[in-house]
Amino acid sequence: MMPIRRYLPVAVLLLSPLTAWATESPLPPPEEEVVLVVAGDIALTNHGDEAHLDKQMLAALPREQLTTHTSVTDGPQTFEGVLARDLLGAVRADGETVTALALNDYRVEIPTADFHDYDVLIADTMNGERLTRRDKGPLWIVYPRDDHPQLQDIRYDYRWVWQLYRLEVE
Amino acid sequence: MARKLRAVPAYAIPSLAIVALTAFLAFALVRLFQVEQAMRVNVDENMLWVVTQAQVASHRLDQAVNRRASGDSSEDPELRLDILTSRLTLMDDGPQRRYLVAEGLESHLDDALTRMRALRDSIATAEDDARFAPARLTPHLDALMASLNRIANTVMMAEWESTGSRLDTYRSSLEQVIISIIGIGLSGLILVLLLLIALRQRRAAQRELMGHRDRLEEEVERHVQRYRQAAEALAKALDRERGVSEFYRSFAAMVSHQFRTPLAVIDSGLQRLQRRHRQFTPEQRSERYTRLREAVTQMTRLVEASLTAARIDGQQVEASLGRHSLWRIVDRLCHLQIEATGTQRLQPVHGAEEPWAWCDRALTEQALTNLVGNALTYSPEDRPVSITTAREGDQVVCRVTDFGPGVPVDEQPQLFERFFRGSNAAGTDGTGLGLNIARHLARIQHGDLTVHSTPGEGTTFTLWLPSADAWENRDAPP
Repeated sequence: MMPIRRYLPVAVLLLSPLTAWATESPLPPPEEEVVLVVAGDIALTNHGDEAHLDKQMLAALPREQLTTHTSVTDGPQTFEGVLARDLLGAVRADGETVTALALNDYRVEIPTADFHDYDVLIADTMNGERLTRRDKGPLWIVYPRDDHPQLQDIRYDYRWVWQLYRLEVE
Repeated sequence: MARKLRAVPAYAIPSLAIVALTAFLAFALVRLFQVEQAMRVNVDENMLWVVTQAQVASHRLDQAVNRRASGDSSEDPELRLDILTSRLTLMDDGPQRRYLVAEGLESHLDDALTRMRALRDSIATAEDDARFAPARLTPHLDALMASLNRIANTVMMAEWESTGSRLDTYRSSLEQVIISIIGIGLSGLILVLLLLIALRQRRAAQRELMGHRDRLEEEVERHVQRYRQAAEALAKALDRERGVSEFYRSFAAMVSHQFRTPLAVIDSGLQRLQRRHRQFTPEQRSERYTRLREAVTQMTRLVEASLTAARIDGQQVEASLGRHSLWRIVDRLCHLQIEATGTQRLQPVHGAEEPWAWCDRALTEQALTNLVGNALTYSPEDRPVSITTAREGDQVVCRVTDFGPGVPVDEQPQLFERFFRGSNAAGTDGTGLGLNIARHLARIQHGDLTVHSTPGEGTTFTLWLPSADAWENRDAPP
């Protein structure tokens, strides 16, 4: 049992599309409109020191679904997107905190530990509809609030960044 | 019924105290939980941020429109409008809209949303730079900003009101909790007091129970004592009865064994006198009569001695012990002997210290009389009989010494047996009971009688009795 468990992450790494993507170093340039810029302590870049990601590149990462209540809407909402840790893994980010910036000039520092402790989603759809920048799009950092009582806290609520367009790893 | 009535309050008070304690505790916990919940819910606190951010977005749009008009192409009014749209959309979302409606701001919100849509239409229906012409956008923007301003104003006041009333709620909840805690303390105090009272009552009950037990034990002990005394009295009575019957049995045995011979002697002597009455000279007759009288006297002595021995056997002899001087007993004895027999052979010798004995005077006299009688009888008439008294340790002694033939060594062990008569005693009158009786009398008085005899020189009988001093100073009297 132990050996299998030990090699399981390696196996997952080998099989996942992320690995294929990651091995095609350096990062390919974006072909469509850039939706997210990752900067700072990252190993893979495609635009100077930054990684510019388009919808296609994000779509190559494993898709995840998450249903949860939020602090600003009624009832449970179903989100879809990529896990924050998958995204940071894809650019080989190495840092303690991630500064998330929004189009509305909102900025907040999030410990990277959050992304490992919880399945934090960088969502691009809500209830099957793509998020737009007229609402909370194009991307929304969503915490699995319903799965973990400790996340039902105002100190986590301010980390739910919507209109996300940039991450800076430190 | 009365007992039931009394039992109710005894159980009711602790039960009430426990119920009160539980109720206070539950109430305090509920209140604290409510406070905790209330502190978590803070939609309204977030609301001011939402509104001010919408205001900022509207100003940024205004700024972008004006800058664009003045030729700054880096500004993107469309992005600013999108951001403003997103802010207003957020305000239109469920919780936020409900809050604003509750504050009576619905018309202002709807107005702002209408203006926002007008702005979008205005931009969508124009082409190129005309899309962002201030002249077309500013009226809507101004109205929108005015609505937002009004909303922000009201929300600010509502938040302060809400914060104030929430603090009031917290304060009153905390006061209630404090009162509950005091209630818990009081209930606990009551319970502790009840416990202490119960403990004290139990201790008192225990003490009373033990008192009862002690009294019961005393009672039982008293009864037992009484029964024991009754049993002892019965046993004593039985012993007395047994003694009486033993007395008769013993006396009958002695009579049947010892009286036949002297009676036969008397009978044959009388027969001879009857038959040969005429042949005897008056001297001979007188001699025979004397012998017969002596035989009768001997029989009388035997009867008396037998009675004494039988009384001893039947435990009919009781010593009434007291403090008596051996000097006086011996002197009186000598005086009586001299009066009765006229003998000059008695030589009482007293030491320096007067020996006080713990004894029965009459019994001691009888024992000594037997010893002195024997000494006078079994020693030559020309030899004296010495009587000495002395104190020896815890005892006093009286020694009666004769200078007769003594007792053969092999006979000495049997000397005190009943009806034993030594070989030297042949030809003398004796009952065979004197020494036996004397030893018994000594032993009844917790003393003893011993003999020391050297054939050819004489015999000393020693009567041992407890000294009065030693007896009185004993730790445990009998």
